[in-house]
Amino acid sequence: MERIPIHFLWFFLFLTGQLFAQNNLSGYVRDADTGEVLIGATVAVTEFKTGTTTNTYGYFSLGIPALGDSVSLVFSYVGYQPLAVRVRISTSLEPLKINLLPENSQLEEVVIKAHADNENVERTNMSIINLSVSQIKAIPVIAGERDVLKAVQFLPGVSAGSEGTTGFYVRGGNIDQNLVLLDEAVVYNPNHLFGLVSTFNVNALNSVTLIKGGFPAQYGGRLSSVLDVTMREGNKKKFSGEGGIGIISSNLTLEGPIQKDKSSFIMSARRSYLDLFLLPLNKGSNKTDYKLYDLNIKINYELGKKDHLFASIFKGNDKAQYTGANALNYGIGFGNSTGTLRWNHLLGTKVFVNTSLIYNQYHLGLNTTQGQYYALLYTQIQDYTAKSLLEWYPNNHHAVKIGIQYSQHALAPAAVSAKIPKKGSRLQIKPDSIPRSYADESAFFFNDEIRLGARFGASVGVRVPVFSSKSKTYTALEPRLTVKYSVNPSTSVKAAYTVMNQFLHLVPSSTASLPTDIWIQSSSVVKPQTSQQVALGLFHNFGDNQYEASVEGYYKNMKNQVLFKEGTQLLLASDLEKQLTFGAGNSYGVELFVRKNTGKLTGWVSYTWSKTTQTFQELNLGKPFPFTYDRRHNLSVVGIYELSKKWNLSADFVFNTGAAYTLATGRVPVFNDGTLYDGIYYDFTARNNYRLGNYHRLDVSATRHQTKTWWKHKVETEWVFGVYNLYSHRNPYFVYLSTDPATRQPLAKQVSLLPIIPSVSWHFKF
Amino acid sequence: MFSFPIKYWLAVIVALTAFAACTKDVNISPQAYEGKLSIQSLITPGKVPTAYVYRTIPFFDPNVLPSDLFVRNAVVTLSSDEGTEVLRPDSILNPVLCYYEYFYVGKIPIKADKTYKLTVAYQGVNLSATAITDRRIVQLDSVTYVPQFKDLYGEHEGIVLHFKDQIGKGDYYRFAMGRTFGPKDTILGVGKVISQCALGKTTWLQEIGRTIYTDQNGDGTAFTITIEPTYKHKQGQIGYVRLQSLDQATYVFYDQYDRQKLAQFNPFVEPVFIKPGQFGTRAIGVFGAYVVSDSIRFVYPE
Repeated sequence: MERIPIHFLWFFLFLTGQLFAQNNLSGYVRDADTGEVLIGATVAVTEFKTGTTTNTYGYFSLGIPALGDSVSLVFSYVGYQPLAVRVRISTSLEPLKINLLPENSQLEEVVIKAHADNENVERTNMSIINLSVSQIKAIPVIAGERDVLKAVQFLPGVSAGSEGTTGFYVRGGNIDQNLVLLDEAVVYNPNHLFGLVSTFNVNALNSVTLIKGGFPAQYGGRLSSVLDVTMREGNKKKFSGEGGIGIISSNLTLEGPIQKDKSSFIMSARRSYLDLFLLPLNKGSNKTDYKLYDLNIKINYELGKKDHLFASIFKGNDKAQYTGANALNYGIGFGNSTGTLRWNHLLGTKVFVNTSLIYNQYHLGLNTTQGQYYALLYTQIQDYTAKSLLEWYPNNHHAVKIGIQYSQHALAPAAVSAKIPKKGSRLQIKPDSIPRSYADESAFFFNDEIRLGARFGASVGVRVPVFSSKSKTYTALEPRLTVKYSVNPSTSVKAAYTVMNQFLHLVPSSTASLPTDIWIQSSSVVKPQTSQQVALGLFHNFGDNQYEASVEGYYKNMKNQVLFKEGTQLLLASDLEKQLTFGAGNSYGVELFVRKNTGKLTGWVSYTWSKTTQTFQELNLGKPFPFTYDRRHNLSVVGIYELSKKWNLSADFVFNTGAAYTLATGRVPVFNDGTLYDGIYYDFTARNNYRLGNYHRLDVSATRHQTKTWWKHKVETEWVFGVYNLYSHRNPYFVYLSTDPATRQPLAKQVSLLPIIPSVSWHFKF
Repeated sequence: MFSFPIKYWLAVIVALTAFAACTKDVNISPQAYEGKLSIQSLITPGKVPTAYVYRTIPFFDPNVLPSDLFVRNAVVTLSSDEGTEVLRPDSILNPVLCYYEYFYVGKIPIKADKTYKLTVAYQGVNLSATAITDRRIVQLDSVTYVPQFKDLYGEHEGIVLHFKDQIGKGDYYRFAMGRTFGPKDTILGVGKVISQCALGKTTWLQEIGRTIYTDQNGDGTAFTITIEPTYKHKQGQIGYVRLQSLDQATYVFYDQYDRQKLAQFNPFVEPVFIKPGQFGTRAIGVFGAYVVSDSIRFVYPE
């Protein structure tokens, strides 16, 4: 019993010894023009061929062997000019303030360039992809709405639902298995407009990182991915703004210093105006309406050299109504709200502490009618979270992260599906009267990123989540391990093993064409979802690091997956847990990714081959069946070309194997003495036995940049001309069965949503 | 001069592009389907046995009428410790759907407290199942009427059955009502189609409730179940209401049919697979036993 603390003491002494054997340099890396922190900037020590990267707050800490009185450092970051500095080493070093100049600030041509480094090869972690905001802005999307999630859907291992469905699917996981974070706050539904546009306003964003495997221990609570989105802090140097006017919405971002170089703010808002355009059409009972808005506000304040406060809030809402087509008739309202208060504190040069208080709320209310039936759904989650993360950089061989997190969840799910009454009123859901269920989720985590010589690296961690609901407490142990071997400076091999647990579950409906999904929590009946994932990857850069390429293979098994039982008819009084059935999932695949980061032509090609199956004892006669979004082939090509200093061209092409759906293969006649059972029944022989047609489309856009002087101020403007689904491929949304009234034969009908959609938008920046 | 404000043009364009759901018929390649038999036979003491034996068909097969699908060349036998009887094909007109239904029928009335074995021999395969006629009759205490009640199907009128469950779990109940439709009545059948077969004739119709009620949560207690009548009626029309007491095999089989029918129509319900039952994987079917209560005369008050 006493061995553990003794071993821990030895470990501590070892690290402490290392701590005293070296000097440390620390500091922040920022944009020279705006003071915005640069996340993931590379810091290299030229003498010792070692280095590190900045964290989410632009902070770095680096151990320097005590061999001299000064050292040469090179700082670099995508789209910025590298900066070489020589720093004197002293025992009382204050944090360095490094400011990098954007590459286009002194160049005549506006070229998206990256520093030619090999970070993807060198870093220990795998299955991580960073997307720059400049790339996201350049990708053509629907109706000129620049979008994060659409860009994420082009990455390997990620597939989209069909148009009109929300979310993205990573390595065979359902949409609820993605942990989407905005400034550390969970965003449960990161979509507007049924997934056509995300809730993230790109003008307010600093960085976007997708993690699909080899999860560091500070992340937990979801099985399949982490999408970590960080908001910008706002311009610390001068007041500025940017905005855009598109056919769906307009947005405006204002930012500036509150106290120059010490505090700043950023405020970004977006609102759609479809509802205003559609007003003339909405007379009588048939109404079509859509309204979305989102608002981001962030304020930061440097309390001193070692303390920094951040406060950010986000609120997004959607409200839609469509009345007309029998197959698609709905009213929906949903929204996310988050608030984050963070405090960064430096303990010397080696320890960085971030403490956060977070609030988030998500709600979705849906009423929809199809044929003679209607469904109502309401789901709400409200979380209060407190967490603290300590980052300790004892020397160049270790980067330790230790943390603790606590969340209180309150969930309110309710759903009804019934036949439209011939007379009388329909059933109603009153959100305030839905019983809340409460749960506590806490976690302790430890992660050490270890560098062993020039070739070997490892990230070793463990996370211990504890989840308590009214009926049950679950404790788990989640080991996290990633190892890296550098074959040469441009090639490395990595492998990862992770265990994840998930205590909140979205129960998906496989039949309805609208997001009739409902969030529930783990309990004595609903066990936590768990997954084990192994991944192996080869990473190689070529062309002087202009190109980065990777091949990753993965295998993931998922337990305690949850679906509705066959024939579940949701009623207000239903005990939801009794309507659920539980099973397992398996996913494996290979992902290829080649990205060109520099030059006039940038972009990437991504291809994924994968297979995902699920097995439920009570479904499909107990046999395995394909996951609904099991897409065997997934190809994305993204290209951005700088035609001239005024014109950019970009295009993307996507091809996915069609999603799986269920159709009966036989019919069973029942003629039984004229009773009400008489009729034709369906003989289902397999679940998800059919595939929708392949999904593919090509989007293109052209952007014209101009610099003008308005009211004695320099203003950069952009006209963006785009075409979504250039060749107007009628991609399948869903297939439903109908009966020919004359022949009484079943007919299959396919509904498609989005044909070719041209767009134009105008953007400005001052 | 006709003018159309730009705002309206924008509205039309936005509506057409953003909400332009397009529907088209698609061809779906049929998947290989191994046909089965569809067998239903419910026996009750005092009545001659019947067995409905049809064949299942691939999903897009054009044959849907009973005459197309009835299995005429099966050998259907019913045996007990008192002997074996071979059932013969017969037919009856369904006055609502306006076609003949075909079945196998015997001559020897079923007896109580016997074990019966139904065997269907077809194309070299024998499919068999057993049922025990040991159900006990549960009599109705009363039948009443409510002009409005709410259930899955909305708000509508209802016929209310009052009875007391017998002690011991495993009882399953179903509503049955027989009515005579006079020559002047118009029968609205399923889908509200006026049946030409019944017009101008006196027709006897039996309604069987689709929902089967179990005593799992109310063993030995008083039951009140409310049924939405299927066919239109007039004030003063008379029906004869009975309560069927079913065995478990019958409940399991028809419950999945009931849930599947709901899922067929309701797009928010997961599809229900019909699972292999008493006859194994080569047939979808049931062989069950039931008893019927005495009838209670019910007069529609409105």
